[in-house]
Amino acid sequence: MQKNINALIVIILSAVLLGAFGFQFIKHEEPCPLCLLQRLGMLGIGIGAAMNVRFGIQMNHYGIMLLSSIFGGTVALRQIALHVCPTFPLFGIPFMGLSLYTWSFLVFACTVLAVALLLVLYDIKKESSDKTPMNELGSFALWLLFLIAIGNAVATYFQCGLGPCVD
Amino acid sequence: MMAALFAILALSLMFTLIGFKQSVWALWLIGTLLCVVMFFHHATDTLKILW
Repeated sequence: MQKNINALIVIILSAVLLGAFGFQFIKHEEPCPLCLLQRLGMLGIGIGAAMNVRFGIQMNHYGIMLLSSIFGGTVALRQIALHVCPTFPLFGIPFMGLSLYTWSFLVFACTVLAVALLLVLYDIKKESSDKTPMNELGSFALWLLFLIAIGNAVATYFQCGLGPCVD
Repeated sequence: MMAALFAILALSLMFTLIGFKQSVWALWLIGTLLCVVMFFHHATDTLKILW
């Protein structure tokens, strides 16, 4: 059950990252360095959830998810703070009335909430750290996130090269 | 640099798929630490406020 929930978290994060890709390639909105760092935070959460799917449910995998959420949330909050003044324009095209970095902050906040709920609701038994069998949902989720990570690496390389991205 | 960070996390996911847990841990840790460095590189004023 918990493995399927973690696989769903991976799929939801993949959908969010695909949405960001859509804004990048369909609406031609180049991501800023802080936007890329938020995507990296989401990938970090995805790695924690993927480890739960692959190696079994463990506390330290949820720790990875929480640390990545805190990192990504901090970056998103910093970007919100940059544009919080009424006279300062929003960055990028808004989606359903909110900017993408505000949505990103909501995703990180929801992840913290989801992990907290999972930790409260389910008792985690000590499992071995060996790889465990994955069902089709888990396998699909992990491959999807892996391909999105590769896609992001290639797209970012063509945008910024190997040096730091221009602000 | 950002592309390298995505590549590190992609590699970490690849090791998850293969089943090398220690490599996943190491790459995630390196990736996250570099992400924090990149954050302060792009948001130096945040560092000044914290200092």
